[in-house]
Amino acid sequence: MPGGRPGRPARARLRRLIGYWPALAVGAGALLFWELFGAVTGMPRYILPPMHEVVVAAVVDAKSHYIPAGLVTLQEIVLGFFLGTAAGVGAAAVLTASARLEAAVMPLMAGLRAVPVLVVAPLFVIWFGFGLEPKVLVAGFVCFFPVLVSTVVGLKSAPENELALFRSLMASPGQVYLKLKIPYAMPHIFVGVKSAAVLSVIGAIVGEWVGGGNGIGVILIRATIANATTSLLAGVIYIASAAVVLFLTIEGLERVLLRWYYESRATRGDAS
Amino acid sequence: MSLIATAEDVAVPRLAAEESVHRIELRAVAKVFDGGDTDPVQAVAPTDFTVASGEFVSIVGPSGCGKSTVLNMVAGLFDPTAGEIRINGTAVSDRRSFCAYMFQRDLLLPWRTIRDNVALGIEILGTPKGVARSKAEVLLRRFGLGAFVDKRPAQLSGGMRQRAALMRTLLCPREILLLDEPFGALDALTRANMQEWLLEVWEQDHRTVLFITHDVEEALFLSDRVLVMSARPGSIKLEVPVRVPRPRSRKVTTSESFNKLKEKVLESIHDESVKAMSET
Amino acid sequence: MKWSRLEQPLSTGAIVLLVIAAWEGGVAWLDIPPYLVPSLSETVKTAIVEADEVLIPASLITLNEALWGLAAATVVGVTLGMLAAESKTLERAFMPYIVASQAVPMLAIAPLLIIWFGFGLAPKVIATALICFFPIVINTFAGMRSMERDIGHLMTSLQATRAQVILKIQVPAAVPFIFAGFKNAVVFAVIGALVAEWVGATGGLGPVIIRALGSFETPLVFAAILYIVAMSISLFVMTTLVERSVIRWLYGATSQSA
Repeated sequence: MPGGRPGRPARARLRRLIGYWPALAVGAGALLFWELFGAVTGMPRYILPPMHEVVVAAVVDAKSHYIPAGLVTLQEIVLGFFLGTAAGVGAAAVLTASARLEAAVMPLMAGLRAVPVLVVAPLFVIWFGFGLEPKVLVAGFVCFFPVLVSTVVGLKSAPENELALFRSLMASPGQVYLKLKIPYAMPHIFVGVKSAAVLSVIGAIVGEWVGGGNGIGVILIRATIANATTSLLAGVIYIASAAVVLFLTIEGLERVLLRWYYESRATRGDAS
Repeated sequence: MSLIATAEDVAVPRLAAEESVHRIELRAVAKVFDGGDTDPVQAVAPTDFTVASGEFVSIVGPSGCGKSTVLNMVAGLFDPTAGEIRINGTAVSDRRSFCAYMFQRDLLLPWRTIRDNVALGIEILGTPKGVARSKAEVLLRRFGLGAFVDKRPAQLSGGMRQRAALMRTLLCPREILLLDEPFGALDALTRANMQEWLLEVWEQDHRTVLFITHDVEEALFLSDRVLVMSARPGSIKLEVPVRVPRPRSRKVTTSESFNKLKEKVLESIHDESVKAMSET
Repeated sequence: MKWSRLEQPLSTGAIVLLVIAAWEGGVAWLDIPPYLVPSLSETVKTAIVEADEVLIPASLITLNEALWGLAAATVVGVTLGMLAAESKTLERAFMPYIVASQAVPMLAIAPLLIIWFGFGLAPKVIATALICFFPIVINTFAGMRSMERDIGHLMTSLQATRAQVILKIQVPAAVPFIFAGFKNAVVFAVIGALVAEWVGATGGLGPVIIRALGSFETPLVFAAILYIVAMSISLFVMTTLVERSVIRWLYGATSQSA
């Protein structure tokens, strides 16, 4: 940069950002394609309305339409997410307490994972009706498995040497969990929780597809039937934003929590 | 008859008549690594040394002194920032075509049999697959791995894998062998066996060897000459000729003259290690 | 604590039996009506009675969609993964979006596919492919990039050509990774097809379940779930068997799964 700012890191960061021009080009190209698709191909409007119309619809109808529906869906998502995550972590803690139990149950869990959400959703509707509960339960159900699996893997990831050290110090089981197993499990748990975040959104939407109600999922289905693509795309934008925000929030939380974790590891490495 | 089945393809120019030409010659070679976001690092200070044709030369030095960097530059993996590397008396831009390189790790491909792993080098150099395989097999049978030609690397011990890696290197029709701590990952007993085995193999065609190690006894036992490198930025600090007649047996390592040499080299390295430690 | 080889499958089996007994016994004992929770025997009976007329034809339609979607995801995913591993520009153009797509619920665009591609095979194949694509492309990419630096140096010192490095090192090294990705994808393949069926279809297990739900034929719903789980698990088991023999052929007796 002429007359440029000194300092290597700043320049390096800029260079790295410029290095990602292909991604920006693809993103800009895709948006341009979307915007101009109808005008260039002459395809009917309901196939792909121009981007600005969708954005306008998303903003104009926000108050009357998307925000009330979004809040309903968001409630399902958040409740389901916490329910599924808590159940997953809890079940993993119980299972890993006994190697025997874990070895017996984990293969079953892998099998249960193959049960699609969509099929569980209607059962929950039969059992729990058309209210909030079945949607929360569907969202929780899909969150449960990735969190369970990653927590089980995480709780077993403490190195044998350190476990032996704790044993030699006569540490109580509680100390082993708090000071060793849980810190080691954290990075793994976060992997599961992050995929649970996205899955909880899918779960809530699917729950609404099956069980109706006033959420965004219902808007999507109605729009599909009416070939109202603008409204459909606007709904997708809201859902995708919710998923991304949830995902980024958890990633931010991870960064804060694991910074503590990695720093503690680093200082331990320094001291030795 | 030379050891390596491919020696006739090599057409190694016999330089014996022309003693003044060195096989490898480094003139004021230095290397600075551009650190990217951090400050540049001078890895090698201006360094001069030569290796004669058929000579076995080792470089020893404290860790991080730049010995591997020197080897990588001779191998042509990257160029020096300053100075010149000559091979057979001329500065060649593509030094790779003269050198066969072996690393500390065996780098055997897990999906290839031992035979196919040993054949890999000449296969890449253009030998038809069938020919390459049979040459590899001849070599493996001659040097004690005949029973393992169809096994995969995972089924062999570390020492056997490293022997296979060495055979892959030897099979390449190159005049110069560059060995970068080839036995560094092995246990002491296996390592001693491998050293004797390497000498036995090397005695058959006396190719030029540049050998990197941090094991002083290994360097002295194997080499005609040992070069000691200083701490970073590395340069040659001491040169120790080893005038022990060949073929050598393990016994020489307990002789008094050998131990004197060892003491001398160790002292020199120790000074450098202390220097390196105090800098960090 | 040494486990005998049989102990784990036996204890898993015991738990399965326990669950089945609780299910069967609980339904009978509490006198739960079949439209709420059908007993296992009722479910199996329905699965057999309705097999020829309803469940097998519908399963074949769903399976067909899932397999085409899986095939499309594999072809596109492996190709794109390899290209992105080879070209820095392509990597930077597409990988950020591929990674970011993980934070977006792909299933939400299933309705869009119906609008774009109608009610035929295409939207189901695309929905399946969209779900299966991610693990395949990511794993292929990682596998092609898994070459160690020193092997790269070895190849450089041998003056190997790009083609030699790709064919002799990178592709064989990527095979276990690609299988790992494919196994992840297989689990979702049937789900992907089902989601697209749900949003718009006349054939397949999706409509069967929707119809059964509408008429409170819960045993048929359970029977359909049985077929779906059976399909997913057999796809997974078949993939694992193929993987095992390919890896054995490539890597010898010891498997080196990534």
